[in-house]
Amino acid sequence: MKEGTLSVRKIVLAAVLSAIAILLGWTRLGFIPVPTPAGNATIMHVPAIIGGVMEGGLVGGLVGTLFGLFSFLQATVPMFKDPLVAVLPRILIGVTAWLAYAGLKRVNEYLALVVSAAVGTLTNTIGVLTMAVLRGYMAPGVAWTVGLTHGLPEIVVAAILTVAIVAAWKRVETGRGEAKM
Amino acid sequence: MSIEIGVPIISARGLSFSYNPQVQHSVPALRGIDLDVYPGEYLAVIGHNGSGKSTLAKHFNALLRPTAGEMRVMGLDTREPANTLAVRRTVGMVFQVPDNQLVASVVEEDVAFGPENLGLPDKELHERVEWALALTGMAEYRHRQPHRLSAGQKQRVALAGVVAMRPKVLVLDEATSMLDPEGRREVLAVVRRLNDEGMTIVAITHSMDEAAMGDRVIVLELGRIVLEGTPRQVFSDVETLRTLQVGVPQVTELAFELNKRDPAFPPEALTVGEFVGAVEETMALRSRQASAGERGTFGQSPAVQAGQSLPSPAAAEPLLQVHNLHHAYLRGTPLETVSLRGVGLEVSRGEAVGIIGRAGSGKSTLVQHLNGLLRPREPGRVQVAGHDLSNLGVDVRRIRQKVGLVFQYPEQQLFERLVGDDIAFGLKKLGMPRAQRRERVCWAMTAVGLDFETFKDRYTFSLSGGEMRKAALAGVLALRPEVLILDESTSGLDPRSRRELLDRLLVLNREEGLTLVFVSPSMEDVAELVGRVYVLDDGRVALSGPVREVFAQEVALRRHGLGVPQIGEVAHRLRQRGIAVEGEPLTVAEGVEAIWKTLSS
Amino acid sequence: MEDFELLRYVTVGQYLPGDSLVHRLDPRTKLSVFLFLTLAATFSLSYTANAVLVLVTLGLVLLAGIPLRYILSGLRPALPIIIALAILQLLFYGGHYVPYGLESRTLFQWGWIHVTNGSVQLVVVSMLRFVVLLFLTSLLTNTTTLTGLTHGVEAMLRPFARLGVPAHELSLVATVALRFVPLLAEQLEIILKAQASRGASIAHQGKLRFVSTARQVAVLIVPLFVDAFRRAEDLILAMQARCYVGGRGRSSYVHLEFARGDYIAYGAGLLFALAILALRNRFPV
Repeated sequence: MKEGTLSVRKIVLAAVLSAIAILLGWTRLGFIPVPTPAGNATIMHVPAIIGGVMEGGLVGGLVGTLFGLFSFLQATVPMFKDPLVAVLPRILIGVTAWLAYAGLKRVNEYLALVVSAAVGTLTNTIGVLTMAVLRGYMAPGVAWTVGLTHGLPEIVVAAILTVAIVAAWKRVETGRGEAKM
Repeated sequence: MSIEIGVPIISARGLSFSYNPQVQHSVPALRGIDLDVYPGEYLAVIGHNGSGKSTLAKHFNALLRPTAGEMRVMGLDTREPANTLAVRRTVGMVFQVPDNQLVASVVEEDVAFGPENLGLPDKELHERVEWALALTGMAEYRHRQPHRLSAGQKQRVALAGVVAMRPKVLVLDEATSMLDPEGRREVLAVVRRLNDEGMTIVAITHSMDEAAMGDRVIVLELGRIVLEGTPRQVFSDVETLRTLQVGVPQVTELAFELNKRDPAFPPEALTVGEFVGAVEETMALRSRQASAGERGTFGQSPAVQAGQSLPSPAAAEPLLQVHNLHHAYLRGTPLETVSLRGVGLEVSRGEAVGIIGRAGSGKSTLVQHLNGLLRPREPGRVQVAGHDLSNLGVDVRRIRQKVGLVFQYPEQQLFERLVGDDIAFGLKKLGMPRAQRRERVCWAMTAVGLDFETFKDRYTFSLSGGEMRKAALAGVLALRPEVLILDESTSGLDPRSRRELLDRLLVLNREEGLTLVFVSPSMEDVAELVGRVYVLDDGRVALSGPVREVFAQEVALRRHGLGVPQIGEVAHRLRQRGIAVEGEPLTVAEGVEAIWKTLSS
Repeated sequence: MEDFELLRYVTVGQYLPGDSLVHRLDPRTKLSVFLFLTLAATFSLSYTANAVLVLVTLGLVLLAGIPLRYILSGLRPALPIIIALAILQLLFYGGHYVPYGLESRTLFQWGWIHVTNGSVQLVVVSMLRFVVLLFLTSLLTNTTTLTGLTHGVEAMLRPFARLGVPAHELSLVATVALRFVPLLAEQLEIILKAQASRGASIAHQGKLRFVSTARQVAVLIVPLFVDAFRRAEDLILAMQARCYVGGRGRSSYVHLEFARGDYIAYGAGLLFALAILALRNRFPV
C-alpha cells in the first residue's frame, strides 16, 4: 500500500479547503466590513493558510491555486481577469504560511499560528498589489494606500480566524476556559 | 440462510483495539473480540453509542488494525500492509452519512470510482457500473448530480459504488440511520436482494427491526460481545437488553410484558406476524380452557390509562396559525421547485403537534415559516401569537424568540468555543444582563439534563453526540420560547440518547406547558410525544387529526411513504383477523393494556 | 429577506447547454486553446494585437452561440469600480509608464494630474485585454461542464506523470472540491438559519450580505470549517474503503476522444497564438 506524493488525506483536505475558498468568494462572505477607508477586508485566502498550516506547503499551494483560478474565471474587473495577478501570487499564500508555521511551531504553537496567518496574508496582499503595479493596473501610490488600509485589518482578521479554526479542529485549548455567558 | 458450516470469511481472535495505545490506562474501544462471520450469512451488530460497533466495523476492511489479537479476512491478516488492498476488495463498506462518501459530481462517475481504483479494463468497468446502477434502481439518475437527490437515493448511489466492486462481504455502518422510512425500505430491499444472491452482510444498526432481519445478532457493550445468537435467542433476553439500553423491537417487548402477566403467552415475537399469531394462539388456548371451565388467572388488570391528554377546549388558544401557504425555492429559475402547495395548520398553546411526511414533502419549509426564516407569500398567511408574518414590519427577532427552532443534526450548529457561551448566544443577542443570563443558562441546561457546573466550561467540540444535541437544545430553550419546534432533531441518535431526549421533551410539554411542534421520521417517537399530527405529502396536508385516528389509517400512510408504529400495525392486523382491540394503541404500554383486555374478554 | 435561499443558486461554473461547434470540441482542445490565447493576450501590449484578439474571440463567442448580453450582465455590479480604476490610471499613471511602440508624450498636465499617450494606451489596452479574457473564460466555462474540464485537465497532465506530476491526484482535488461546494453551501444555509433562529440579526443590505462585523464572520466561518473537516474525515475513510491508493494502476471510466475538428481547432489556436506572440514587436502600435 504505497500512496503517491499526495495521500488521500491531503487530496481530500485540499479539496474541502478549496471548496470553502470558492464558496467564500461566491457568497461574498469572504469580504468583511472593517472600519477603515477600504471598507472591506478579504478572508478568502484563509483556507490556503489553513491548508499550509495543517497539511503542509503542497496542500497550501494547491488550495491557493484553485482559489486563484476561480477568482480569475469569475472575475469581473480587469485587474483580476489577468492570470498573472489573480493566480500567480495566490499559489504562494499557503507555502509561505507553512514555512512560517514550520519554523515557529517548536517555539510556541499559538505564536506560530498568528505569524503564519500574518505571513500568508502579506503574501496575498503584497503579491497581488505588486503584480497589479507591474501589469499596470494600479499606480504605485494607489497600491501603497490600498496595501496599508487593507493589509493591516486583513492580518488581524486572518490571525483571529486561523487560530479559532485550527484550535476548534485540533481542540487545542487556547486561553482561559471559563464561559463568560 | 444461517449456515454455520464451512470456513469463516471473517475471523477475529482476541481482537483488541485502543485509539491511543501509547497512553497508559487509556480505555480500549474493543477488548478481546472473538467472532466468525460465515459466507452468505446476515449478521447484525447492535449496541449503544460508544459500545465499539463502528470501531469493529472498521476492522473488517482494514481501516483500523488490531492493537492486540488478530483479524483475518479470507485468511489474510489485516495487520499485514501487503494484504490491505485484497482485504478491501473482499469487504465493501457503506457509511452513515450519504453525502460524505460520494466523490464525483455525476452519479455514474461516482459509481465507477471504486472499479477504477481496481484498475478494471474498460469493458468490465462499464458492465459493472451498468449492473450496479440497475441493481440499486439508480439507472435513470445516472447523469444527475448527487446533491440534487434525496438522502435515500444518495445512499443507493453509495451502495452501488460499493457493490460495483463485487465484494464478498458488505458492511453497513449505520447506513440507514439518516434515511426516512421510505429511503430505508429502498436501501434494505437492495441489501436483502444481495444477501439472497449470496453476499455476506454485516449490518451495524440502532434499529431493532433491522437487527431482527439478521440470521444472527451480536450485542456489544464496552468493547465486548455480551450477547450472541439468532435474533430470537437474543431478543428473548429482554431484561438484559434493557439494562444494556439497546432496546428490542416493540412487538418483542409487547410479547415479553404479556408473558409476564400470563406465562401461557409465548414470550418471543420478532415480527408483527409472529405476534399476531401468538395472540391468536393464546386466545384459542383460553377459549378451550374457558370451555373446560377453568377461568383462572385472567382478570381485569389495573388498567393504567396511558396516552396523551389533549388540551381541554377551554385552554385551546391558537398560538400558530397557517393558512393556504405556498412556497417555491429558486423561484423564477429553471431549477424552481415547488415545496408547499396550500398548507393549513393550527397549533394551540400547550399542545404537542407532530408533522410527518416523506423526504421532500415540505416539512422543513413549513416549519421555517413558523419563525419567520421564510415569509409567507400571497395568498398564504402565517400568524404567530396574533402577529401576522406577512406584515414586513413585524419584528422577526421577537417572533424567533417566541418560536424556538432546532434543526436536524443540531450538533453541527454549535457556534461558540465553550458550552456556556454557546447556550448564552441568543441571550446576548437580546442584550440580557449577565447575571440574568447565567440564571437562564443554568435553567436551560438543567432542563435538558446537562449539569451546569460540569458542562458550562467544557469545549463544545469535546462533547459526545448526545451531549451536543442537548447543548444545542438548551441554546434554543434558554430564550424561553413559547413554542419549540424540533425539525428531525432526534434522528441518528442511539436509543439511549433518544430516550433521554424524548423524556426531557415530555416533561417540558406536560409539566412546563411548552408548546411542541415535532417533525420526525420516527413514527414511534411521534406516537409517544404528540397529541395531533399532520401528514404532508408533496406540499399538501394529506391527513391530519388526533394521532390515533391518523395512525389507524395504515393504508393511507403507506401511500404517503410512511409507516405506522409496530404497535399500531399489530392492532390493525388483529382487527383484520376479526379480533377486537380497544382504542388505538400506539406505544408499548398502551399495547399491553389493550391486548390484555382483548385476551381477557 | 430570503437571503439564505440565494445559497441554493450556488453553481460553480456556468455551463450553458448547447450543440455548437465549440460545445462539441474535446475539453482538452478547449483548455489548450484557452491557454494559448490567454498567454497571447497576457503578453500583448499593442493596440493592434489586442484589437485582433478581441475580434477573433468575439467571432468564437458568436460561433458558440453564447448571448453577449449574458456575458456582459455579470459586469454590471463591477462597472463603477472598473471605471474608477481606469480614471485613476489615466490621470495619475502618465509619469510612470513608457508607452509601447510610441514616443512618450504628455497630453495634459495640471497639478497631480498627468495624462500621457502612455497612460491612454495602458487604459485602452488593459480594457481590450479584459474583454478578450472575459470572452475566453466565457468560451471555456459556458460550453464545457466542470466535470468535463476536470477530465480534460487530468488527461492533459497524464503525460507529465512520468516526471512525477501526480496528474490523477490533482484532478481528483478539483473533482472533490466541486462536489463539496454545494454541500458546504447547504451547510452554510443551515448555520445561518440556526443562528437567525437564536436571535442573530443577519444584515440585509443588498444581496448576499450576511455579515456586518468581523465577529459575525468568525461565528459563521468557524463552524463551517469544522463541519468541512468532519466531512473530510468521513470521505477519507470512504475513499480508502473503496480501495483508493492513488492514481497508479487506476483505469478510467470516462474516455476523451480527439475528433478531426479537435486537431484543426488545436492547430489553428496554436498557430494564431504563436503568430500574435511572434509578431508582438512588429505591430504598428
